[in-house]
Amino acid sequence: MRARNGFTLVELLIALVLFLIVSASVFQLLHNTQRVSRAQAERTEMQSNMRAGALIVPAELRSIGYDQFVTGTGNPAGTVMSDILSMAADSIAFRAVRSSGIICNVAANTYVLDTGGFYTGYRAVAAGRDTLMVYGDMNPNRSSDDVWFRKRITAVGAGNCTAAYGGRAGTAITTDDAVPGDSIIVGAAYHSFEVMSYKLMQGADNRWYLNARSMSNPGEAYQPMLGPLAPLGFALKYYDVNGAETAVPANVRTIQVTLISQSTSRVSDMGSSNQQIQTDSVVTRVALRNAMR
Amino acid sequence: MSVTTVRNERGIALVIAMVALVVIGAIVAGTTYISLIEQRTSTNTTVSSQAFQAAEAGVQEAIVNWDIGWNTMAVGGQTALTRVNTYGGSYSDRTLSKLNDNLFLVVSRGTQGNATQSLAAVLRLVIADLDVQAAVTAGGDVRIGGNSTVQGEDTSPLNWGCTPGATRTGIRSSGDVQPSGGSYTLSGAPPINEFDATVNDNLFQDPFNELRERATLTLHAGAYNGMSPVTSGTPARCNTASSTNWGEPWRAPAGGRVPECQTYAPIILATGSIHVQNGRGQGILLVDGDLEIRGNFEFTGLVIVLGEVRTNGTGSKITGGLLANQISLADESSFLGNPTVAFSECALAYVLNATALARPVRGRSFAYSYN
Repeated sequence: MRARNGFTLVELLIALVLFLIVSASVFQLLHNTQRVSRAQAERTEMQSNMRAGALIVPAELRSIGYDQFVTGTGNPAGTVMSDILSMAADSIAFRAVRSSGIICNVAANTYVLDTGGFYTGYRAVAAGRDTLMVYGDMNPNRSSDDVWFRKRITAVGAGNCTAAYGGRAGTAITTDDAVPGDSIIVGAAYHSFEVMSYKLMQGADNRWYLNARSMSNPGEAYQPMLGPLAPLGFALKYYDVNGAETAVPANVRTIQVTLISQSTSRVSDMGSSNQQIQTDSVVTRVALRNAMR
Repeated sequence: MSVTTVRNERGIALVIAMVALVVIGAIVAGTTYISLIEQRTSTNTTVSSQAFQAAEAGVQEAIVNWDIGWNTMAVGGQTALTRVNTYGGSYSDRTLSKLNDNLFLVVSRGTQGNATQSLAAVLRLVIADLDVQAAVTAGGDVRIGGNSTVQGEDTSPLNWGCTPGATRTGIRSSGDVQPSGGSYTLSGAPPINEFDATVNDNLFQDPFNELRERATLTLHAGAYNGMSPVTSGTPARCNTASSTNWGEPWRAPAGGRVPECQTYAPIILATGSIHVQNGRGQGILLVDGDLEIRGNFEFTGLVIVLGEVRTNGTGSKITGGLLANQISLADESSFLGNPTVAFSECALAYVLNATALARPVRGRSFAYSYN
């Protein structure tokens, strides 16, 4: 009988155990790396979500303005009017600027917007949805009596600027709310706005989202724009000129926006196998640029 | 001695090691890629924020260093302002447009690296809030005589082409107006408004204090003779450094005028009593003391004197408005010789406008620019 080369059972068992140990550690390493990678991707998404929120929300709030002494339809003299229409810790409704520019021709209640000159906005003026705020100089020798008139837009068409503005083509806006002697002249600045409402709401998946809705657009429902957030993940605090918290819209000068973002799924903490929803937060303070000083 | 040779090198360790390496490598590369993207996004956020701040600096710089020379730009006109360099290599380029008589638009484009952000602000000329109701407004008594003329009719300065408005009072005074012989002419609606209790110190002091902060030409007490607009350099520009250049009140087709200085309307502050004689000027003349007008001096605009005003000699003319507050009862303003003081709404509006500073309009001055 020839001696056969081979392994004894014991040798095989030892080899198998060794192989299992090595495989297990390799698997562990792979698993860990993959978990860290997924956690990283989730965090990145969460942070970019939050960053988008931290850019969009303050940009919208920054243009909030105020007015005083506006007279005319529905605006008794001496009333301080804020562009904030309602405010709470988890929601705000305000006049959001949609375009800005200069009026280059005036005829009764029709204004030509100089869209070929200085004009900026992220969407064109929409009749029935937007309202025009137009600067009225009143007494030209006095700056303390200047006002902004709000005029609902009933029609949008074509029109031309005056000769001083090169006679170029612009957008003609027909408005109602006539105010006799409103002193709106060529060269007046305007902003078009719609009323936006931002609100923290729970979605169908029971997670929390920041929802937005144009209250000027009839029938528009709240749409989620940012999330998922923590249950109190969108918090607003309102401060007056002295830095004290205020509940009066006309006194608001700065708004503190807190966003607490969550990861979409459970991921592990760094250096631990504990799987849970991750959170991150950002706090910004927005000075209302157009607030009265 | 036997040598054992392993001929059959079978095993999977190398394969496993390589597969593991590839998998780990892919995961590491993925993570690195995500981190890299993240880092770039952060950098973008930083530079765009710096560009925003640069744009903001550009707007603020235009307001703080407002050049009153811009006030007289043509409506619809546009000018590029000098670049503002801000910290860390960011900068802003601005354009200034005149929208109408009172409104300006400054658009500032901030740049940092590849990021740009634009901001716009609507500015308004803040004009001294001054209600001049008469050709001569005086605290205390006024003496009028000689061949002097004081007229409350709204007068357009020669060749200015203004449409006259409502006639104002000739002399408005908190004291009385005493004739002092001669054949003077006094007109207006009414010609005289004596013992007007609304003429008080604040009427003179408030605009004086407001305007003195913005004086562009400061004079010491003394005599000033032969004010005349002058130019310097090539091409000729109005020489605003000269203390006897008080701007050019003459308009075409008047001969001998200096067109370069027609838009120069200085705020002249005299820190003590001055005598003026011969020459011409336009703007706002503030005198912290007495003003004596000795003849052949022509001024278009606003004159505010905290002391008394005396005129003598011939050929002097003030078109606009004259406010004089006596500092003690011993003083009184007198118009002797043959000066003319004529009310002019148009001249007042022009000089107040030309000397005004710009401020953001009330509420909603600011706009993001998406262009």
